Amino acid sequence: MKSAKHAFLLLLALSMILGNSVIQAAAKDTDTFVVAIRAEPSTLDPHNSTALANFAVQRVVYDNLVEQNADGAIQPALAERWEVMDDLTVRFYLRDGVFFTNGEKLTAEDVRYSLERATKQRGSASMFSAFDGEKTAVVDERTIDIKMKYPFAPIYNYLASSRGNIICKKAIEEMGADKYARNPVGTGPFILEKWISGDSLVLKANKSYWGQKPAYETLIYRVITEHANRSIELETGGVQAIFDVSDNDIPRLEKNPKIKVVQGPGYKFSYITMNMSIPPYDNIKVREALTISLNMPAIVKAVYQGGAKLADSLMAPSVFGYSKVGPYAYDPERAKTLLAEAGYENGLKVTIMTNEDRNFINVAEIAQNMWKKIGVETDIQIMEQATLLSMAAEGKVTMSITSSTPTSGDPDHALMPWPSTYKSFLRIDNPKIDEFLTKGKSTYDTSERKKVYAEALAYMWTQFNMIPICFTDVVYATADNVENFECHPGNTPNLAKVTFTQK
Amino acid sequence: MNELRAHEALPESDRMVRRKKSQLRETWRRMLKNKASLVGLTIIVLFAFMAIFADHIAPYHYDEQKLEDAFLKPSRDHWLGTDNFGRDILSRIIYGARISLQIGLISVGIGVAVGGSLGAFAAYYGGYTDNAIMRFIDVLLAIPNIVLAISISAALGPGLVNAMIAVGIGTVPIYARVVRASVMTVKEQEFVEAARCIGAKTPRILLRHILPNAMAPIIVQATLGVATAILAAAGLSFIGLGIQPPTPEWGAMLSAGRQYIRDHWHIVTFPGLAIMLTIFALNLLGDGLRDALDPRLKR
Repeated sequence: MKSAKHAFLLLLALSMILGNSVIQAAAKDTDTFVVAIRAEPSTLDPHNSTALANFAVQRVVYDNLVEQNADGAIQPALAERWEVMDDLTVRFYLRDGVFFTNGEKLTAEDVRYSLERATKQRGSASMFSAFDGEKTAVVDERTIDIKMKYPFAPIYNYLASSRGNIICKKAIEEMGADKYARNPVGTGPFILEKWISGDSLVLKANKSYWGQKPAYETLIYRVITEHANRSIELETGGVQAIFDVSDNDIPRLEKNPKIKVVQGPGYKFSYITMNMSIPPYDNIKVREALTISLNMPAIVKAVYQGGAKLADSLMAPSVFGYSKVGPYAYDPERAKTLLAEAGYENGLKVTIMTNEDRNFINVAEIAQNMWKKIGVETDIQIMEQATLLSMAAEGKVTMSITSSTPTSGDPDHALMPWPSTYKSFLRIDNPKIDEFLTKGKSTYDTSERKKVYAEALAYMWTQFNMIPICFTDVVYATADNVENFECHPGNTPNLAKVTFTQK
Repeated sequence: MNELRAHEALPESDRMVRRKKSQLRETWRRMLKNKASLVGLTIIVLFAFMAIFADHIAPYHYDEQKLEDAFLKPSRDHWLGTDNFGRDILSRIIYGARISLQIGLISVGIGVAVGGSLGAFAAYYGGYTDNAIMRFIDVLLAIPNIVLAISISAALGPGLVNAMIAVGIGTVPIYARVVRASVMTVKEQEFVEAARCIGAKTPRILLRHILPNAMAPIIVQATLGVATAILAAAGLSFIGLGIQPPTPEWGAMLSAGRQYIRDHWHIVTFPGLAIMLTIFALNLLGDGLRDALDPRLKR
């Protein structure tokens, strides 16, 4: 009995050593690329997928009709070209000779099926609400007319987003959605081979990929949730690239000659929300007081340590239509006056609810301290993201700290929390804002559209509906022999483009 | 002979006080002999002193942020350095002692009160009552108490009071069993029978005759329990279910400093040491008390 136990332990130890060295070895040869992401994908069904971790893997498994280049400009992908038929119709011509990884040929019917499904499934319906899935029609095997419910300028950005991934109709109908979510069939540069729950996803290069074939054979996404562990893993050579580098790790990684930090502007915008349907936040004086009593440059510097830039607008500079409208000036004296005018000269008590994001908690703690100086007492409640979201849906969240990452790079997506139809943290009900946003999304002419958003942002900035914090940079780090690691602002770089230099 | 008469002349309550006093003195004398438990006691007294006079001895207020002084290494101005908001870590640890000891004592109080009365009733009444209460306790015991505390805390929501309730309820089964066992050994003894014969009511018998004689194991368990409770509360705060900011709870300080551990060791080291020292001291004290109170070790 005892010897059996010993043998077992020995075996366990051996397998750990061996297993580890396999990964180590794999990390060194240039046929395999190992990256660490911060969360395990919950699903690879693009229409029920709302997490960045999912998008990162979907990016190399699926293709879209069109895609964005590094500057955010739209370029052909599965569609070779397209033409606008009228205000509500765009005709797309598909590339010939594209095959799904199960051998099926890509047809216009697959595209129609994918888009119609996108308008119906839980994770994509709100984003694709402008698309008319019913009327979208196949013209011939390689031509499709995509219909909109109203003139909708962001159509290309939305089609290029992860919810616009084209899935294989036959495969999903045969497998059923649940099985498909873990065995995706796309046209992308990689094929999911193995999914080890809680550990990693192993992908193999797609030999018959229609576009430029990847320079390496195997792509492994390892799930490492702690950011310190991700950095250590990169420093010790266990992985060759990491996503979401923690701000306080950037200086150390930059000093390491064997590591490259890839940093650039992102889509992520973090802000403090106030619920317009609950007093005292319905009073613009209170909102302004809460806003200008925060020394935001100092907060951003202390919390993000160089990993983010002070927000000077209501969406990130990398989003189309951005214009600089701020920042707000720090003025605690005026804040006190405003509070007194609003009837809170004897102080005010606010509650700020946030999820467990360390940066958000840190912002809340500093804000609590700064608000105390103008007589505002703050109760901080930290809760699980799921609890927070369900409370927000019920309209019970008074103040919160949250962020949005409009992965499409479109202003309509970026300003999603603003219209009166969006019932969550902010609960803004301002007809003028609604009007701006409707106009913005229905203006096809880009320079005209830019003007609408510039005007909208300038007006929205004066309403103090949210307290902007910062625009977070996207920060990746790679081994020094990794080249062409795309600094994608939405945190979903196309890893198929990565190449290696020989040492 | 004279002496005996004088003793008998004393009223009953006085006689009890004298006996209690001498028992206390005896315990104390034996405690003093045990060096380890004295060390424990000294540390606890020190922490208690810090907790009570925090306002006077802490060099800074616990929420005094100076963002430009963040991450300072230990120095003359800040003996234990500053954290990521430029707050003095020493001051936060001193104020944190208040929170930790408070949580330890109150949650043990809750555990002893609830668990103790359940255990005492179960033992005293026996039969169905005993069976019903103890099976319920067994169900609770089947759940590890930190898991129980986490689920209660998740249900009640975060906060100091809720954390104390959660940790307290988590320890109920332990006290119920300890009290039940010691009450069972005492309740069949002659003095209890005597009290019953002269017509004493149940609550009086339980509170005046049985419990004082079953105290020793409870005291020991409670002392050790304070340590467990502090650790559990620190654990709850670490995972974000306990104390909410800016309250300087040691576990919460660890959790907040965790992300800086590779570059700024002092942010997590000192709160960690504070937790370790307190738990260590309480355990020494608890062991010492057990030896001192154990009649079998009486010389």
